[in-house]
Amino acid sequence: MIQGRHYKLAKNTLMLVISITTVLSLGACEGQVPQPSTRTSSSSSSAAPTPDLTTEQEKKIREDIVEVLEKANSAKDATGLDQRVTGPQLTIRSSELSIAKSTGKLDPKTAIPKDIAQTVIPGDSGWPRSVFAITTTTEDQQSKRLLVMNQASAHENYKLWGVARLFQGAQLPKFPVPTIGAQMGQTDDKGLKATPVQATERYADLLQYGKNSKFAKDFSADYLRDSIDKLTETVQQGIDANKGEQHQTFVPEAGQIKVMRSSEGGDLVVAQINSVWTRKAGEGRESLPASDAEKALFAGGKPTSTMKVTYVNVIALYVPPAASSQPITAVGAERQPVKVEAV
Amino acid sequence: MSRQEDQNVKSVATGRPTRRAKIMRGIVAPIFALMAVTCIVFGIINATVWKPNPQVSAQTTLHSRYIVTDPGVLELVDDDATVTASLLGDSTDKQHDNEVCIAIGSSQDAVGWISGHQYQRIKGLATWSQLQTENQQVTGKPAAESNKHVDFRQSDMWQKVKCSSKTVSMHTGSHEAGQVAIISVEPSKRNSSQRQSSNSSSQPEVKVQMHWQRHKLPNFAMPLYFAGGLLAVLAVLSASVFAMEPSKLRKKKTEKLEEQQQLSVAQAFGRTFASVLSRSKSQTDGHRRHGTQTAVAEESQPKVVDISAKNMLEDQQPPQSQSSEQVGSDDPTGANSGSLQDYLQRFASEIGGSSRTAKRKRKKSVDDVNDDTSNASIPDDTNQPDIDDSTVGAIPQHYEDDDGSIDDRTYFASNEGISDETTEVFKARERTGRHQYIPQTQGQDGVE
Repeated sequence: MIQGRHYKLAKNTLMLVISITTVLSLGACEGQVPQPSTRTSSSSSSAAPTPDLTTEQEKKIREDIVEVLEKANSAKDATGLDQRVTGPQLTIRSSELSIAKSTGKLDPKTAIPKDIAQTVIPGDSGWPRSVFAITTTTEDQQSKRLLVMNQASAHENYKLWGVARLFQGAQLPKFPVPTIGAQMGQTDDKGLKATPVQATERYADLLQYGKNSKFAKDFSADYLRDSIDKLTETVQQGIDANKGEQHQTFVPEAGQIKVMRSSEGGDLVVAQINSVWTRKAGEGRESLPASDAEKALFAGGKPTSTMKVTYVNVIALYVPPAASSQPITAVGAERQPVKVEAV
Repeated sequence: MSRQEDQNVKSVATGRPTRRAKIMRGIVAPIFALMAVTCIVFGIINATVWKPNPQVSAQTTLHSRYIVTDPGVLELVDDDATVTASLLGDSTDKQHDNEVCIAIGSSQDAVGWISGHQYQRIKGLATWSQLQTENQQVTGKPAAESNKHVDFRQSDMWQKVKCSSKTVSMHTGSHEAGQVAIISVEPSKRNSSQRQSSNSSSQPEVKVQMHWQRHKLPNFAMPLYFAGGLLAVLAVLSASVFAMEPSKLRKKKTEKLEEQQQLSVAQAFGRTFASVLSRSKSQTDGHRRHGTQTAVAEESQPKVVDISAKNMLEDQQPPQSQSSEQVGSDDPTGANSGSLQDYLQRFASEIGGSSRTAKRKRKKSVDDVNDDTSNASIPDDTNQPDIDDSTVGAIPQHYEDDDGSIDDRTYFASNEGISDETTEVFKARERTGRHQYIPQTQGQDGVE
């Protein structure tokens, strides 16, 4: 029993202990460990796909590509190109470089400006992925270029797959801004005037048969067809003079096609079409290269009466939705002889 | 209980503190006061000595070639994280001349890079000093070696990448939400030709440390200060108010309560009656007696109309009749109610047998109502519709007798002309083709 003045002390101590233990439960500690919030899950099932690249990343990739190209341009040598160039562009650029080696200078059409007017970056999560970029006009006021950069797999880097020079006055469809992320298309996209593969085949048919093609009404007139027609006519005059003959065949290259869906519902399709131009000179004459480029490629060859020139064409088509009143329109192209042989 | 009250009364009378006051002032108040002081003291301690550490550093050691953080982990504690990866193990082992690399990229790119391989996931913080990890296998086949493939450090996919032979550290800095860090042990450039370590079965030992500098610290002092203040208030209250005799407090409360209850009961009754009585004009003066009583209440309360309890006959009375109720003066529609009864009786007699029963029923209902008024009960509406049922066969007779045309409204023109303005509800029934009698109220002479 605690007596007297100790009683008050004991009572106070007891109070203090009770108070402290009550308060200690709110005592100092770091608190709960934070949990990661999954509000920013970048899974492929998210409603808004995040773009595969930021604009800074895209710029850096493009700069790396241009750097490799310029190195090859200055060396006029295609070795080392495959580090950053692939597909039809690799073939075309190699040809351009070998022409440059023999002529001493690069064709002005090979210029690719460093700056871009627009870039279309997909938000798709798989591979292969392609990024479309539209450059500004060149320093010498040539038309804009449509660049297609492709990443074949996660372990590879982006490479320049195709370049098409846009036609003057060609209307390109709209795409989402790069911060939103566009959508790549499939080669068999439905709901359009034709699937991308079909559109390419029909265009090849059109190039081959011209007005007689059964798909002539599906397409609007474009600069590439006009220029090929003009060139063919010119050559035809020479061929008529010596009772020769000529014909061209256009065949799309299987698997070399890239599709990007536009915001308007149509697809922008970039595809490779190979063509072979066979020119036979009659009356025992020789068939000679028809252009400087052919000449440079053929340099040192022995002409015969038949000349076979292989071209690689890269064409950019806009395929509108099926309900649209617009026909399929070619918006850009590139055409380069890659092999000249006398058979 | 009375003993306690006696004690309290005695204490109050003598002026000595009651038992309750003693407990309150002597024990409860000091406890609260002490708790308040303790809270404040702990609050101060939390704000100074026990302040949460702004540096948060958590680590773990893993055996894996690839380590990837989950989305959201990099910004778990604060926006800027520093990720450090160290390659442990025997550094003299020349065969495995490896580098450890850290890259920041999107989650899908990181997973795409290591597809087909096993990797360790950093899911978050297990404790404040330990990272939580989990083993995971990515579906798919491992990418076959190819000279087209680029090294980890050269991939276009990463926002940032850094490599080092032993320990590499990287600030994540400002980055897009959802980015992850991927740590990979790669063969160093010197060894790239051998590519021995690209064998995924080798599991190098890697220590991963994540460090954050917290800019927003949790404030544990504030709740303690708040609690302390609250307890101080409680201490003061328990020493003063709670120590007072509850009887002193209670009385005021009960008085108020009783008053309120009285008023509310009167009001409630009044409201119920007012809505009903105002309709029952045909009822006897008995109702009016109650009507005056409830008049005052009625004026102050909005009238509650129960549509489902409609009394068809009563509803025929024009709105003026209601105001008459309030005044308690003669019912201007007394003539109406009188005439209504007259009409009914006449109608019943003309119909004959069926009407006689109706009249009987009517009288009965009236009588019932008379009886009921003294008890201020709500009249039974179901009495009224009987008339309708019984006079179904009668109406066409009347129509033909008069002018051969079937027009409910004009038939009763002689009956002081009754407006059909108040019969909105009954218009639908009118059209059922059952030619029901619909008594018209006064208002328009010969409604056409």
